[in-house]
Amino acid sequence: MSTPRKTRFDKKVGTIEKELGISIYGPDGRKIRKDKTLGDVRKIQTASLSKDQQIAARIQVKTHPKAKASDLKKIQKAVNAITRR
Amino acid sequence: MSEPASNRDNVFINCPFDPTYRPLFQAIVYTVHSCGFTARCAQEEDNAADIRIHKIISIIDQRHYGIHDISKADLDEATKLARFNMPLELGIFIGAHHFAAPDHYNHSKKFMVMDTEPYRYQMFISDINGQDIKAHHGKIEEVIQNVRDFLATSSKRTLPGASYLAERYSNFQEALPKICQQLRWEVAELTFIDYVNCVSIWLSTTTPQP
Repeated sequence: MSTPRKTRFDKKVGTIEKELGISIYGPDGRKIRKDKTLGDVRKIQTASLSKDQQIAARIQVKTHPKAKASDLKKIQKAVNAITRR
Repeated sequence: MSEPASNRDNVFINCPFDPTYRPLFQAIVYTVHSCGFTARCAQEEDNAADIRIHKIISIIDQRHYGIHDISKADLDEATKLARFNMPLELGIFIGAHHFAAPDHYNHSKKFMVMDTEPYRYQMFISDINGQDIKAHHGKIEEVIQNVRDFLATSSKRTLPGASYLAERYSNFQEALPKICQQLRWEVAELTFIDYVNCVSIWLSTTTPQP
């Protein structure tokens, strides 16, 4: 069975709030009028990247067809460990 | 005959595998992956049961792009003989492209040839005269520039600039020993597949996202 398609509309309120940097619902549970959209936030984030960084961000990096999933997992852990420092 | 979609981003790398050439080879692999392609070479095959030339022909058949470095034209110190593997594989690649029917996927193969000095190839492989041979002078920055420009031109894709790629490659070179230390691996002992895996994971983790 196929998994349901994920779109930005499937995001939880908390995730959208994090991405926007503002809260969507007030403590009384009523919706707060947003002063910016996800599109606006993304535009601001993109503008902070150089032209080359923007092009690089659009490129999908390929994994080698002969790579084993277990090796990739190990390397991902090692890369995460050194990039978090 | 249409080309399988999986072949279209494959780049066949035909270059020396000896330790002196290793820094240039690794820079080629890095550039290929950072441009969104997959580096493929004879080193990824380890089935000793296969006849080597059949293995090479099969690898060439499945690759859309080819990067050939014919710079190792000197004599071997021990045997005092030249090695002909790179020109042979270049010849097979050109033959596959040339003899393929116009509607066969091999007919659309694209390749680039590199040497250390411009026009030096005329002294030992003058039959390829007329091709645009790129010189790299044994420098990593020039290899990155040549590979990036070839992939951008032949694929018609928008790719980051060569100086950006070179800067990111030097960051990766600094990170690689630390990645290997975490894994208890030695950089000098990395297999081709291990190196490619490190490149692709590092790129997908550290490339700035909008």
